[in-house]
Amino acid sequence: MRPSLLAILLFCSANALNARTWTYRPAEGGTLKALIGRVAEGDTIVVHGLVDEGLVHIDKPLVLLAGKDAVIDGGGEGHVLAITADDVTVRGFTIRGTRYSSMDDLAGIFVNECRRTVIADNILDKCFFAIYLSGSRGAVVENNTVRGEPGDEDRMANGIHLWKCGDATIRHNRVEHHRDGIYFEFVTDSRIHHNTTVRNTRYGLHFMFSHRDAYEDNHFEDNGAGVAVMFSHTIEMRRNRFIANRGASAYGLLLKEINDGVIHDNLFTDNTTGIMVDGCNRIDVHNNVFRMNGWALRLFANAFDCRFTGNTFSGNTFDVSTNGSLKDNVMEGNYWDRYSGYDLDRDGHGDVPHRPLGFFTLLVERMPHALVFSRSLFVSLLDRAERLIPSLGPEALKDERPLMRPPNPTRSVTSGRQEDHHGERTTLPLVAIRAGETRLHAHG
Amino acid sequence: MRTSILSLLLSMALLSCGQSEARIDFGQAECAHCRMNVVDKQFGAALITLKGRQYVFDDISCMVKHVQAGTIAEGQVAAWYVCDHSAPGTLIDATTAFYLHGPSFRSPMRGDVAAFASEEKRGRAQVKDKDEAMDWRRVREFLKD
Repeated sequence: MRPSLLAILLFCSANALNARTWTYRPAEGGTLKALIGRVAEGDTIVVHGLVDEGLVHIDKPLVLLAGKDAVIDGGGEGHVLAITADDVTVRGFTIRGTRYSSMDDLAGIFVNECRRTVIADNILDKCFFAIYLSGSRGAVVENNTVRGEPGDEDRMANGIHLWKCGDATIRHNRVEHHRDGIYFEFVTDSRIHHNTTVRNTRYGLHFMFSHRDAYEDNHFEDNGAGVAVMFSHTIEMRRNRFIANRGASAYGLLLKEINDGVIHDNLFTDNTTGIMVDGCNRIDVHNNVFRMNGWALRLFANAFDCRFTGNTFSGNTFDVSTNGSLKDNVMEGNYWDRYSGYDLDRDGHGDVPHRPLGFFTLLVERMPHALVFSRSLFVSLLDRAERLIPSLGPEALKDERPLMRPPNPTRSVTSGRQEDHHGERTTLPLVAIRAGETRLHAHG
Repeated sequence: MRTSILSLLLSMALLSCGQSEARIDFGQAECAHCRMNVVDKQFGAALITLKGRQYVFDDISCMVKHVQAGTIAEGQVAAWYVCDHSAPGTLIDATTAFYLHGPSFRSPMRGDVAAFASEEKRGRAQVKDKDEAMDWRRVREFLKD
């Protein structure tokens, strides 16, 4: 038993020692394709300069490293780099020159049915799809810069696109000016963390039919909408920042038909709608900060067994809105800057419940045009009257133990932005409302 | 003179009351069924009701399912539109369009049905034998839940 193990180890290390490193310079003649055909499995090729020979196909385990000024230009033929073997690493290149196609999913780096692919430190420049993984497992995509062409969103597909993959890690990438920054369709058991996705046409991050995934510590700003999680279950969402997603159908986070998700320690600020919850079960929304959104939370009546605890609501135009009567959901121990009760027994919780759903919120939900009266004296009088004699809001929608102080948000959420918890309300929510208004007009 | 101005005004007023053509603001509109942002110009769809109200969808399947779910009564639909897959962004009459369903087409909500303005266009797009040709009636049957 033991000798055989030793033999295997020896064999492996010998193999590793046998792995050779090749240098490829286009100026010295020959093609990269030919060199790939010649080298042994597990070898390393260091590329210097511009490779301009159409599709480069890697069909054996290889490490492809960028040397000086390494650029791979596909010349607009199709994919630029296609990987169809396990254990391939591609590191440090600038990749450009895909073809645009309405029929084929062409990509800067296309990975099909592979295991343990590593794509790191590359720049994907104006590709149709940038990085496309199909049917692959255990891939790592890290430190890449993915940028489409601003203003040409029509001819732009997704930045980092995964289709039927598992055990993938997507980290420390930056994606901008694509359709969806990162797109997961039928992807399981994967992690997305420390990415920045900004200015993408549709979503910063998009899940479809994907399960048991987590996304953490990401930054989503100024996308068509921040993140959409749809038809998926068991997704963990932690310490992300959803910033300035404004406009017609803009949400910080759109949840559609989601079961068993957790949303912890995130920051939602300056969005038209912070979180939209539609058709979800067993979602745990805990310790998030909702600041200066038009609507912090829009909760459709088809939500069941959802929990909202320890969140901070401040400076939003509307904290919570719903389209019907809400049952079987828990809303408890949150901080509301609108709460006007006292804490006479000093247990940190207000003595009377807080009803976040104001009269005016309900009115706007039914008659969007009533937004015109936002912040008018009459409406604030009505809201006050409703607070004294509650009659309209759903009985279930109240916080029995509102916090007197905001709970400490985690440091990572607020890092990088100087923010004031008790600051005056700015005019930002109005801007957000304007955007929301057009949306409501369009459907109202 | 006066009557002509009057009739002009009257006809303008009448025209503005009538059904307008469907239009999709890609990148701005929200799908009435799945709430997704409508960006894919090859699979978008829209319908107009008898009252002249427009609903926009990001996938033909969303339109079919939305009406099937009863949110809009079938009898209230005045016109159905789908995007011509071979001329992205162009809306055509859904009832007379030519359809293909198959692995070549990946629509935003996985309806995977593409529409074409003519049989000839459809023929050019059919790359795999697996792509099934359909008409509007078959599409609606096929997309039912």
